[in-house]
Amino acid sequence: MTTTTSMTMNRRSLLALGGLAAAATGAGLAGCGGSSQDRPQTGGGGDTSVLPDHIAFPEVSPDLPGDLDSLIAPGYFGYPDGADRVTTVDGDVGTGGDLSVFVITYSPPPPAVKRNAYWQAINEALNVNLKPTLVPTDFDTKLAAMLTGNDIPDIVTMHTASAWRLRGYESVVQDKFADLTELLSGGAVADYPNLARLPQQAWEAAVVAGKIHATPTLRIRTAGPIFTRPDIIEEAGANPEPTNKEEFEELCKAVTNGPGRRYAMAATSSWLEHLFFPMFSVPNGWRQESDGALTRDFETEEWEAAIAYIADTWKNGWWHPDVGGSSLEVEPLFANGTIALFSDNFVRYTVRGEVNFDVGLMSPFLAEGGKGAQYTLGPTDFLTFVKKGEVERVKECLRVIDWCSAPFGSEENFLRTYGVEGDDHTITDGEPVLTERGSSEVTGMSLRFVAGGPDVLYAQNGAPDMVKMLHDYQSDNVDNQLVDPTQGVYSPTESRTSAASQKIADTVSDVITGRSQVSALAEAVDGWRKAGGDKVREEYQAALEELPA
Amino acid sequence: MWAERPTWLTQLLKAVTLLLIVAVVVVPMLVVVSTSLASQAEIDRAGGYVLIPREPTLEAYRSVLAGGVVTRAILVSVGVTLVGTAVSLSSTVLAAYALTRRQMIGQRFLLMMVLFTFLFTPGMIPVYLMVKELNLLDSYWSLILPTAISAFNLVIIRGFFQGVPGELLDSARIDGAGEWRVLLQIVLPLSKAVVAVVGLFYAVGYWNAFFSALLYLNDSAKWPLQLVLRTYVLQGTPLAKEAAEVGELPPAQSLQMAVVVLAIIPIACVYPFIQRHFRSGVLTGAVKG
Repeated sequence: MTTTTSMTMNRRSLLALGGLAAAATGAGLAGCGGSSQDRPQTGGGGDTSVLPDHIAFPEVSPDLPGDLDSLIAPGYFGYPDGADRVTTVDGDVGTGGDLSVFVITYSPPPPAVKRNAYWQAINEALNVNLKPTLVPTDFDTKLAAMLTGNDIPDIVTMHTASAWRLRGYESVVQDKFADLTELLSGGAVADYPNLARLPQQAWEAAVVAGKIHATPTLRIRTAGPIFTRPDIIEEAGANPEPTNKEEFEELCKAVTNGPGRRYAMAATSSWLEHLFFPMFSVPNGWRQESDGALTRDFETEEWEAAIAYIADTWKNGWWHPDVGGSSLEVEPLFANGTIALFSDNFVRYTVRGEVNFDVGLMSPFLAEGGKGAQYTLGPTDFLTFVKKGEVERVKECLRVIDWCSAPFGSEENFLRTYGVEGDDHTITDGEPVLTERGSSEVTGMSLRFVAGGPDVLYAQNGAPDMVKMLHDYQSDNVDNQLVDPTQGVYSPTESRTSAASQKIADTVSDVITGRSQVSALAEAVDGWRKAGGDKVREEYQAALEELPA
Repeated sequence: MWAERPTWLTQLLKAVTLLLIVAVVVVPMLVVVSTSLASQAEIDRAGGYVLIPREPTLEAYRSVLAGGVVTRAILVSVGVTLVGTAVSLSSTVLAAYALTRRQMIGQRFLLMMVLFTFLFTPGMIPVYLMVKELNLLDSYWSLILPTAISAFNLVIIRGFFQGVPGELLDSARIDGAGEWRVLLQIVLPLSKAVVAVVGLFYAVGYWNAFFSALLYLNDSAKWPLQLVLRTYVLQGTPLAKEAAEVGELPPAQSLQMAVVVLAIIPIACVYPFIQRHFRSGVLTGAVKG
């Protein structure tokens, strides 16, 4: 059947359409311009003079002591039972009204409040009616829509990466969120004892244009370690803790050439940089030279040498052939012994269910022998902002965040982490174990990102040996920790170089797998410089110069 | 046309090729269902995905359906799909019919406005602001009204309506039929195929609604199934593992596959009944004459 249209497009109507389109586009773009450029962009967020004091909290004594300065997290073999827990918050937290929270979630949504014992218990403990907006994906998009619509919830929690990707981050924060300096700076933080216990360094990222605009959420600072299968490595006749390149190569050869279809290594979205980069003394993110100038890791010869070496390991067939594919499930391969090395979150094997295979850790080493650098992460990965409003409302929100920040071993932390006994958790051999319902309700609410940590080592899966192993690893690598010198400072241009950074990552994969020559790396790095990398360097350098000595 | 019968070798090759094609389609589906029935031990042994589970278990389904989150999400998706398809189809049909009436005031202008939307889209933020101004945030209508009429589908149906013989319509009007009667008793019965196809396109669009739900629905109890499914998929990502602190649900892979199976079941149940309409509607206009 043929169809005909009664309208013919002639030049006159086409021009009319085009004119209308231009007018509409102009109007739309005019609406997109904004006052975000009104305020000065200082490019720095690391002014330490306004930081809250650190007031240590009388914590529940750990089984393995921690050290804030050395970045060793305290270790606990068990969760204190009721009698030993402390109460950190006196009096009412909220005023009984609605409290909206905007936070990312990596879990399925929790059941609705009417069927959610955990949610009801939190509402009762906080004396609020919590209304969370959980953002499961495309957080930046949802955040942009929320900010543009001026529908700001009372509390907004963002991953630091999302925060710093915001166009005009500093202006947006100053426009939309409360200045908390008067309420938290110096000794004022004593009104919020759980926030006061946070290390001062954690607050650096929360300072915007010289004012405190957010509260930090702590994390374990040891960057992705290399987990090993010592049973498989020893069975193949190699040393599971190599101390130089030769021993490492013997390990890889022995495992890959041994019985069964095995490979030494696998990864999903990385090339085990925390294994190879310390071998070649690659900087952690940036290196600050003696004259204060900053050099990005991929601008160094050490980095290029590391990539070339990884390419050699690939040629030798030591990697699982599906590496780099997004569908590769590395953890099951590690669990069933197909691979002997992989990298994951530091506390992975204290959270994972029953671990019925040997797990070890490989400390970083130099290619020529000796201890390699243990990269550290910044002290915080989430920042929580409070909507601008009446002082009493801001204080109420801070009290809620303070409650969520309660330390391990406190009643508040126990409720936030384990919910209601019987519904959300049971006590097995004296330890709280989340039920299936509890997993859904507790992780679904995602309050852990608003505040609270983790900042201790504790085996939720009932494996105290894991806690000891992680604590020993941190203690053994205290002296060779390497901190990114740009930690805590902000560059407005950095988010605009993400495409160029991705190009570098893609080129690295091509070089390693033999699709490109090593010489392609220099071109990709040059692309980053031209796309704003040099400006990023200038901004970081300026921000670091502004910090008090 | 080949006149001679195919040789046994040719038939064998055809059979093998067809089997391979079927396998390419069926095996991934089998892996999805099998992995949804597998335990953690089996997933670890297989290295991620399971072809045939040796110890099948319904643990993942029980976990997914407990708590009522997925069940509720399925109900939301079904409701939005049914209501949305009805609203979209009726709006599109009415608009398309009106735009075939040359004597309608402003017909040319309105048609140009519809065609104009092919050239430009307003973008995410202006639509969000409009939805907010209409107080549709956190409402199921935010999933339906902003996308109620697709210009593409409207043009398709309008084109089909214009192909209905004018004499038929004229004779109906001579007999005293009004525009409503002409539309409902003459035009629509002749347009079943294209209306079915457009309806199916709308239904699939509403069933897959994900981004608009993310943007406009703040209450997670109102999330449709695709958004809930996304959260299960995200659990296995490196970011999620980095952020993981508490709890250990059944293995992420079996949970993900269980939710995928649950998401496919409604479409798989409905499609056999509308397949013939879909086929004839897609072929509409493919053959001249």
